[in-house]
Amino acid sequence: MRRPAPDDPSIEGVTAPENRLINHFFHDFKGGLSTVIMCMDALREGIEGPVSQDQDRWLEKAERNCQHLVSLIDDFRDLTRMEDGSYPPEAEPVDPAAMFEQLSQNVADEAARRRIRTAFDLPDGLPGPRMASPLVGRSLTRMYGVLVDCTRTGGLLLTTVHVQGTGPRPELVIRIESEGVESDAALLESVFDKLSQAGAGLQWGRGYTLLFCRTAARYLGGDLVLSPWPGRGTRVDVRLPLGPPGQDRG
Amino acid sequence: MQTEDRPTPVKLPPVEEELAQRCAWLIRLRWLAVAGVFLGALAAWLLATGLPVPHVAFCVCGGLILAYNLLFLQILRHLRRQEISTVAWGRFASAQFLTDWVALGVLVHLTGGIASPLLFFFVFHAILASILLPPRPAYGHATFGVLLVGLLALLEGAGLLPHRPMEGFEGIDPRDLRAVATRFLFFATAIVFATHLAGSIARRLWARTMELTRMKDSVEAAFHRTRTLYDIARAVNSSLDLSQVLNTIVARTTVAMDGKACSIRLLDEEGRLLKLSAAYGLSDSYLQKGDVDPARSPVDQSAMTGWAVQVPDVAEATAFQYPVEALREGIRSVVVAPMLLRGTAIGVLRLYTARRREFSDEDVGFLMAIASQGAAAIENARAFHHLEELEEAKAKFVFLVLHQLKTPVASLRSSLSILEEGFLDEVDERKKALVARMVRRVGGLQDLLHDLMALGSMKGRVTGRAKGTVDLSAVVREVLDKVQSEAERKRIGIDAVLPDGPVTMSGDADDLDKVVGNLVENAVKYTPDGGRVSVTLVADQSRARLVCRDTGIGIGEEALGRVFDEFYRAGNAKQFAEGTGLGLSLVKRLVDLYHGDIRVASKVGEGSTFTVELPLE
Amino acid sequence: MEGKAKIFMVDDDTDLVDIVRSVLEAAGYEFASAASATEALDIVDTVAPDLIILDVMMEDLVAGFRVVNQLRNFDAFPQNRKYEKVPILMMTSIQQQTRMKFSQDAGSRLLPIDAFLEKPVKPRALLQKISELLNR
Repeated sequence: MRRPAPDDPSIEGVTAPENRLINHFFHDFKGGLSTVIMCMDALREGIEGPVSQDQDRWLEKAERNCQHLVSLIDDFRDLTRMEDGSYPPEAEPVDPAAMFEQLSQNVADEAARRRIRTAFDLPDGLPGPRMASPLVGRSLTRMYGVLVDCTRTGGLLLTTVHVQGTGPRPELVIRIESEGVESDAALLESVFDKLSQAGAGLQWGRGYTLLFCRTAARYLGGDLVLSPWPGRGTRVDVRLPLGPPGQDRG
Repeated sequence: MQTEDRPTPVKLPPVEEELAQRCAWLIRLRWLAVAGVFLGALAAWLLATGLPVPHVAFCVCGGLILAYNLLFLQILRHLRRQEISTVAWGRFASAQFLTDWVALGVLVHLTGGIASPLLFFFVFHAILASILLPPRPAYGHATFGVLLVGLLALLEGAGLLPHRPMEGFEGIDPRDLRAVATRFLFFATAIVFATHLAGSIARRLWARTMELTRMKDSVEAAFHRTRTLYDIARAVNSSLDLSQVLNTIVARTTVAMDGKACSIRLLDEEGRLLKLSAAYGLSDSYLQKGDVDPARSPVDQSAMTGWAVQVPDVAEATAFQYPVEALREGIRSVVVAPMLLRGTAIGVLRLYTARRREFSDEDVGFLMAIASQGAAAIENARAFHHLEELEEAKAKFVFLVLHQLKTPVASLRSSLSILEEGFLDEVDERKKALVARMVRRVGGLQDLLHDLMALGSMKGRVTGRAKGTVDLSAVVREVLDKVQSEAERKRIGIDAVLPDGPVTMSGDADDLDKVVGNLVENAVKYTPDGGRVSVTLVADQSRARLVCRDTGIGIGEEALGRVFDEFYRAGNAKQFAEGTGLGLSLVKRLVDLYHGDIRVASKVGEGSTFTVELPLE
Repeated sequence: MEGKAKIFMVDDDTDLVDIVRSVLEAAGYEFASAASATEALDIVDTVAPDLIILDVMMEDLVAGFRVVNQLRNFDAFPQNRKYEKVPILMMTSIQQQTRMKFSQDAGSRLLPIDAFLEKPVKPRALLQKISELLNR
């Protein structure tokens, strides 16, 4: 069966109004949140006079919620754009070594709080900085956020990275293993079913984060696979091509 | 004359029709003959030339001709009602001629035998026969006429029949063998000659007529087919409803091919069995015979390789999976054309006829063309269906996303409210105003989620939910209660004119509450302080009309056409109040679902009037 | 000098305009605003701004781009050459909806703006960006 290309004009008529509606919604919703966030910041900075410490803490928490909503909205929007092929090709310099350094810093606090041991096993031969889609860093950041949450208190979160293929476009092969409840393969796969999120959400149902990461990985020409880590927990295998994006997509 | 199997949507096939008309012509001519006989008798009596027989005999003769002509007319009408062959029509014509010869023979005898002036009429009859009949029967009839006259002359000459010469025509004595023979010879020659001449001219005309008839017929058939192909192509391109397109194809093909029935069978998902997708002209019992397995039906098997296959006679065919059922259904001949999609057969189109028929290359080519149109329709519809599924999944996804956003937005709002109400520490007026603004803004986000979900939940609904009966008047009253406090705050007076009794309609109270609520709330929202809003509900037996009028900011001309668009908000509305830009879209969609009608009239600075009409049954 | 600079904000979100006004006026700037591209172009000469903060999606999807075009396309609008040195800061949440990477295109011929900030913007980041642009 021919899957119609998104820019097929005959299909435009079917999808366009729906997409316009969704885009419009994203815009209005994010605009509203942005204004609220700006107001919170201004308030905390004393634009209308000083705020008490309690109030500041309260506002900070509310602002974090707001920021979380913004990133949710961004993810949802980009998820739909990746699915219909209208995600803009962008590139930014990505240095894999620095990226993993950053990722390990991101998770450090939460890991320490819950006594999770994190280990990053990086090879010496990681490629140098490259132009790659901002989706790479963004998806990995999101994913580690979920993985730390899913690792049991006092458990291990182990990351093993190697590079596959040489030349202009090597592939990063990342295996992340998280100690916790071992789920069967079917339950893990159901995490990616958009419509049954609610039911599968016991352990991995962190919103649509993993779905977003897999969609991004596939969009970039790689993949993300969840499998049981026998006897110990769950394993995530990610392949991500590193190189100038836009080469193999128009 | 050969039997034709051309498509003839009405009446008889062209050749039979031609013969029937000629027989009718013969009958019409005979009325003239009857009139002639009676007139002759009358003239002879008036002129007293003295007929050799009493007028009564002559009149009886005329009466007999009249009687048998009436009989023939009845037979003609009877024959026209049923499909009979050209041979039968020929027999009918011959029967008429024979009867005529005998009648004419009697008349000749009554008017002087071989000397009778009526002898000339035999010539006319010979001409008629050779026009109406093929050469051999025409000569047969000529011979019969000649022999009849010869026999008459012999009988009269031998005195076995009385000779009744007419006055003034007594020139020949029937016993004068030489005179009689001479006269008979001339008569016979004239008859044969007339038959030959008229016959050859008539045959040439006949051939031309037939040629023209056939040409007209094939041009009509070609036109009809082109038309059919065109109509089918149009149906394929204009409709994405597969079963509708396939049903159009089978029905139109049956008519255009002058067939009995037509069906389309498509390969199932495993590509093993041919399952029925559309049929025309076939009985339910025949259709229930089961799926066709190409492995057991060589006809379909070879059609699936890409070439159309003919079965001229099902009774003689061995390559058919259900021959018994087909014969019972009255099917005689079948063509199976493959439905090709980029060279691969995805199904077959079958045409059935009730009469035995050999299909021409043209017929087969036409069926192949139609079958490929059908394949294109199937591809279109499948692609569209696939797309619809994708869209549906996407819509569901968005719905779930919105649902997931609801909780965090609600908790954001309550945490801001806690701040606003000073539960943490005292907030001064300026801070309070800013926090209130944030609370209101987050409330706007909640509205946005709510409205978009309401809009989204209507996707896929094709009719208003008929959950029961709703009193529209009560719905309006509830809405008016709800806006009461806001109207009082803005010092807006509300005039309501509602009918005394209930206005009941079938539907869902929530739906109608959304319609009325959005309109009335908008009216209050976009009317400056101190304005007026009027809500009028009137109803008759079949329709209810709700008019919501305000003295608000109004809608500019450029915005009037767009106020029902999703997310559209007119410039002055944005300045004046908060809104999601979805409320009126929701109203419009709901009104459409209930087969109602919504109109808006407005003038900037003066106010707006929204009129909703809803059918009550 | 910097403290008296006049900032002209074009955005249809009145809440946002109000809070930015508070922030900027507290920092000593003069402030003016317009709620649509049309209004902005109508009053820009009267306002005579030193810096323009511009949203993209207002009365239509590309209203902001229309303003940029009119203020920067001196061939078509020679009277606007006076704004050549007036920085334009685009502040919007629709980055990816336009299929344009603003931060890369900022200052390019394609989108001749001077800076881009994606909403939500921190007041401090906004003040810093404004001061940066004015002191260039």
